[in-house]
Amino acid sequence: MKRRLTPLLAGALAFASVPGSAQELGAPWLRSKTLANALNPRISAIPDFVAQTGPRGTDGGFRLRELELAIQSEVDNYARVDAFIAFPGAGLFGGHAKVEVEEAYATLTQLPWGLSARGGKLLPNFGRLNMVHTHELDQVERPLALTNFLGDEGLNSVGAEVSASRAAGSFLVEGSYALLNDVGAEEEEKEVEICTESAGAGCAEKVKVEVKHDDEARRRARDLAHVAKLRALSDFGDWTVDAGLSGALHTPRLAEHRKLGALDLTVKWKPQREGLYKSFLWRSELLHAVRQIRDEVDVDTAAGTITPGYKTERRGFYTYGQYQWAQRWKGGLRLDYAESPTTGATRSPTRAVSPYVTWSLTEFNRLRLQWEYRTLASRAHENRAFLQWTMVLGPHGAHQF
Amino acid sequence: MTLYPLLPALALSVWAGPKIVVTTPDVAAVVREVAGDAAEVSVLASPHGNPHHLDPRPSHVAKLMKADLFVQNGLELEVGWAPTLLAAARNRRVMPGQPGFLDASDAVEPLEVPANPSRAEGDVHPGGNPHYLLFPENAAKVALLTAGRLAELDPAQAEAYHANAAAFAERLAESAVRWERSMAGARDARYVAYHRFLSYFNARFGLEQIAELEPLPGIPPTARHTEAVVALMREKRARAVIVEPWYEKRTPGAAAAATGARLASFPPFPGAAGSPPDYFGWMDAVVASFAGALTPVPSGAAR
Repeated sequence: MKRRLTPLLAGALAFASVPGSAQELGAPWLRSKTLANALNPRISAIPDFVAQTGPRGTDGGFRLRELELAIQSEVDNYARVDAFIAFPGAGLFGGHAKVEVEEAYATLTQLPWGLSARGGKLLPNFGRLNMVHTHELDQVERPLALTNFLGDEGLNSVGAEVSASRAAGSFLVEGSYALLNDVGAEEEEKEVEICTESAGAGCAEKVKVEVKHDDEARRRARDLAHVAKLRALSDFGDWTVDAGLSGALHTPRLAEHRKLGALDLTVKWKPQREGLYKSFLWRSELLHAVRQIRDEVDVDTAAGTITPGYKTERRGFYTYGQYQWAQRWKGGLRLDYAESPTTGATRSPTRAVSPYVTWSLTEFNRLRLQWEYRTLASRAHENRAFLQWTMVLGPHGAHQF
Repeated sequence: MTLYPLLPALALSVWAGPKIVVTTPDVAAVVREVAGDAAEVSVLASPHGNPHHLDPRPSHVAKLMKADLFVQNGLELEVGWAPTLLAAARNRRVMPGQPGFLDASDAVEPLEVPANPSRAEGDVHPGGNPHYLLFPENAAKVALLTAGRLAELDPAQAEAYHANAAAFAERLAESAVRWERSMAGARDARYVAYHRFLSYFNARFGLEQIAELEPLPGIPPTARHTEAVVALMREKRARAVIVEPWYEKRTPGAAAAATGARLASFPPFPGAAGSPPDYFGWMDAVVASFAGALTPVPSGAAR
């Protein structure tokens, strides 16, 4: 074998080193120039402009909704860090002109047995869209159910998440578990206006309820939140099916208790031959939220007036279909149903129908037009129109699989 | 005795050779030549789809989870999907920087490396044009690189891998003579392509691609740009409009009809457009496509 191999290798090396045109036309010094800054973090900026018109009181006109700055890099051969810093624009959607660390987490990349772990401030694996940043959504705004139950920025907290996956053929199962400080922004509201059970269906009586936090208490394990998700995926020809079951539990000693559940299903069609021009997506998610508010004692009154605690159980869902009919064009329709998370006696559901069309000038420059017809709990109707313009500067990659 | 029929299945289930996952069918064709029977090779991208826009699927992740070696085409061809799949697979053996991660483009000198990469130039590849396996000598280089890495991962078969790569390069050298002979009639022929896919093939076989229907890489044709291309085709007497099978045919067809040029396609990857899945059969089919499309247009054709 060796006698045969030696002349063969010599011939192979000679053939491979033929000074053909490719070698002559290449520019190695330019490659090395590129490699010189290869150790820098990958930095991207994603400005997201939104113009909105709507019912009286809507802050119309063009606004910079958010500028996301993404900084991503490998720390070493064991870990990677992803940081997303949001610079919200002032005014629209109640935004404030303050810089916020949307996510900043380290991922361990060398764990055995297919395990992955990340820690820091993160959007845990809950539902289908919680890990998707706002500018990457298929519509201008998050579904109402997610906003109502998870907050404007989604379920986002500080903690750690471990996940694992197993495969059999084209069938994939993923499981994740996160231990977090809390379950999102909703708890940070200092005051919540509620309708008490005694007020009846008319919801005439309203009281203020303070949701108290005890930062010291958070240090105990009992006060931490648990978030878990089980996800199953498979593909059949040009179709992919992705289903998930999620749960979140937060039962701190001195604040409200929250339980969240989500069931999500995504069906995607993208033909191999015509995938550049045609695709279809159908996604649905059903959420169930339970809040247990504790009795509140007003220490300012001599008698120590007690505001009784209460429990709310609410549901919400969204479903949307989206079809791509040309290389740069997609359109879809989303249906929303979301019960109010804070009203005590009544579910106060809000429904919405939102048709939209998206025109991607390129992969990095996208315009979207959306109309929303919303039916409030009072049966009143509202119309909103949005124009969104999102750009991606830099090498910003996909957030997740 | 009755268990004998089960032995082949048992043998497969305890396959000891390395599992190799390759991103594109052309690189996979080269890797298969090197691996021979000593390793199991699977490919992620379909030969029928545009490799820039692969939709990551669960079956891709499942393959990567079990891989011992991941081979990518490189030069940012898979930048939109390979990192996502690698992260989802959580297979530390094939993470970048590990012995199980191989970038095949490390073996070649790329063409069209932009001096100042900018997205104003379209969907550019900062490292250079990634479609380098249409240059046969590059296939030999990739084979040698792959053999070295496989020998490192699977020392017991090292000699076989090196021998396979050497034999592949030797066959390539012989075949290149045949391909050059077949392309002799098309040498210096001018044509228009849809995408800048064929730069290495042009450089190797002396073809002149005068324009692309995409105004910039990755940007769909516009009416104004197509008019300019048609004018250029008339001026330069282009013989053909050549388009990858995954692109729309309306614009190329209109440009060809307006100039009397041929509208032709070619197999961009082994296994595409009815071509064989091996490197030699594929290159035979590519050469046959171009030799047929670029022979002089009969003088009576409309201009």
